[in-house]
Amino acid sequence: MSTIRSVPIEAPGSAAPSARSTRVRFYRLFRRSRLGMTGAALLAIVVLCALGAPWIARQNPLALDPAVRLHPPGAGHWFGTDDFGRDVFSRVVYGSRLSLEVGSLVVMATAALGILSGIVAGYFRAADGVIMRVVDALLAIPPVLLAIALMAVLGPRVSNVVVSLTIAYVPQLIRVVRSQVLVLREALFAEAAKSAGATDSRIAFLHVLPNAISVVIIQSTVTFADAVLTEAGLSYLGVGEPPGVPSWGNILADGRNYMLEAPWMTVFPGLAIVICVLGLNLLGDGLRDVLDPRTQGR
Amino acid sequence: MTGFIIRRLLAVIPVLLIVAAFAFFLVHLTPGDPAGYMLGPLATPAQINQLREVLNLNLPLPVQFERWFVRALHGDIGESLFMSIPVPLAIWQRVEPTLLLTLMAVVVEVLIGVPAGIIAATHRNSWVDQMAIALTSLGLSIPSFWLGLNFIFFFGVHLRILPVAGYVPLSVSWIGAIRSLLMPSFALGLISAALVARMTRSSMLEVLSQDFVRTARAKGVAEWVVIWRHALWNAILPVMTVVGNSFAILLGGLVITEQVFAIPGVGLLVINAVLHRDYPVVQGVLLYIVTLYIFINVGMDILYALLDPRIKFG
Repeated sequence: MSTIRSVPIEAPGSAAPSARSTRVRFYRLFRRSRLGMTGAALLAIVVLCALGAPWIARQNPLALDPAVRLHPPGAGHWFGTDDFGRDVFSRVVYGSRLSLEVGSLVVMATAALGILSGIVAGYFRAADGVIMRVVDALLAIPPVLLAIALMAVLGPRVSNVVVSLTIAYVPQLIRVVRSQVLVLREALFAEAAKSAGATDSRIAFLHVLPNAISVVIIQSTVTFADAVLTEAGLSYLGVGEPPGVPSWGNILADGRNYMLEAPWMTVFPGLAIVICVLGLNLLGDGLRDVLDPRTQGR
Repeated sequence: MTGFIIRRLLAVIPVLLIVAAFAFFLVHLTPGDPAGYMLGPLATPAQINQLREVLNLNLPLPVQFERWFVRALHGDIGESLFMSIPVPLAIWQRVEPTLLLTLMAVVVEVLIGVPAGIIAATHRNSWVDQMAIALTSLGLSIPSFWLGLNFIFFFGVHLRILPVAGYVPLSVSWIGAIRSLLMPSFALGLISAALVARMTRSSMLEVLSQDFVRTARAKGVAEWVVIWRHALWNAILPVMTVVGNSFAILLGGLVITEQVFAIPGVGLLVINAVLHRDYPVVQGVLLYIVTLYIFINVGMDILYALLDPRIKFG
């Protein structure tokens, strides 16, 4: 069986590459992708801010100081202060933690659920009808509206934001994985595994799944970007994280009432969202160029 | 063709049923007693019991769903707990600005997205194309509500040429209505315009590389006729799908945009309902918006089939 496991999908006529050379090829191609590298660099800034928040932002993002209420950006406060005298720079830097935390949890949850349901739907026809009807119904609800409705009943908590966004964005992934599985299950290597006596679930998870992973990775960057945008929207509306938590959406919501006196309260968190989401989108475009077999070699 | 339309409409039924079930059971996801949760901590047991009666909460769940669903089919999805008017009426009162805003956003999306995509495709790999690609990436990364806030600051506060917020009903002044929705429709439409531009570009590139375009050029047809007549009409179908799908983004974005611009539409209604735990309104808006969105997509599919003879109705 172990020989079959390492059979990769390959373009007709090409020599089968080893796993290592595939990885080397991936890095080489990705480094050449200008979009992908720009995206990775932008995202790296956000990740560094999240990981190094206590060292980058020296002020407590929650510390109130009425003496410096609504101070413009300057030496002491790079991004100014908000209506409670809190340092906007610290709040934006700490906000990156929350956005990345929510985004990555949503990506992990949607990937796990999406892969499992997608494979089950694509491989086991009995379950396909049920799963796809539910997916169709969930896809018929605009994701933002779905997330808002779920937050309405679950209540404003970070964990509930993750649950709502997962439910809102998993149907797209299920659909993508399923269609990929439907193609791959007819591929030669799946047939080879079957004729060697492998069971359906063994073929599905050991042979088909590894070949469907690149699609999951590409879709996951889109989900991550959408999750960051929607999370900010939810907390801006007041149905996301509880007020006061330094999230980009919350800072924007606080800043809305002071746009005249303190435009820095809305400018900087917005820019942070744009940098993070743009990074993810460009990274996704770069990965798509490299991983998608249809655009390879161009 | 009729068969195709009937089948397409029949396929809507299971989707609508599941969405209805979802909207119904949503309320039962609340931790503890939905009635107590809706009324808040200050409610007396008598009030809670009364609401349980009104909402049929004392009956078994399947029976509750059946009753709710049969009533919903008749257009009766209950009464707003907060405004004490039937939910359809509450939605109807708010529907005008929302529909007008959606319409204007689609116009913005198409009028900016399609020409931008065509220009990018006809100047492939030039700086114009690179710029267009960069702008679409940026467009997809800007939160529409933040774009809206910036518009308010720039056009409303700084230049003072557009109203900062609010809505003037059509019955008062249609120019006022359009003026009050100008900024929100751009905030919403520019984001989806990026999607439309991308699709137009790639679809145009594919068509422009085909033989009939070369033939047209070879027989001396003017370049603008080749692009706007020959190529565009063959490239427009995938773009229409994107426009149809963008309604999901628009309808979701509406909720946030209406809040930013204080537009008294369905989006503001649903967000206030969420904040006041007015579940019948949340359920109602969910059902109506989803039904609208489903039928928009069915309409798009049928239009698609009508316009493209290659699609078989069999």
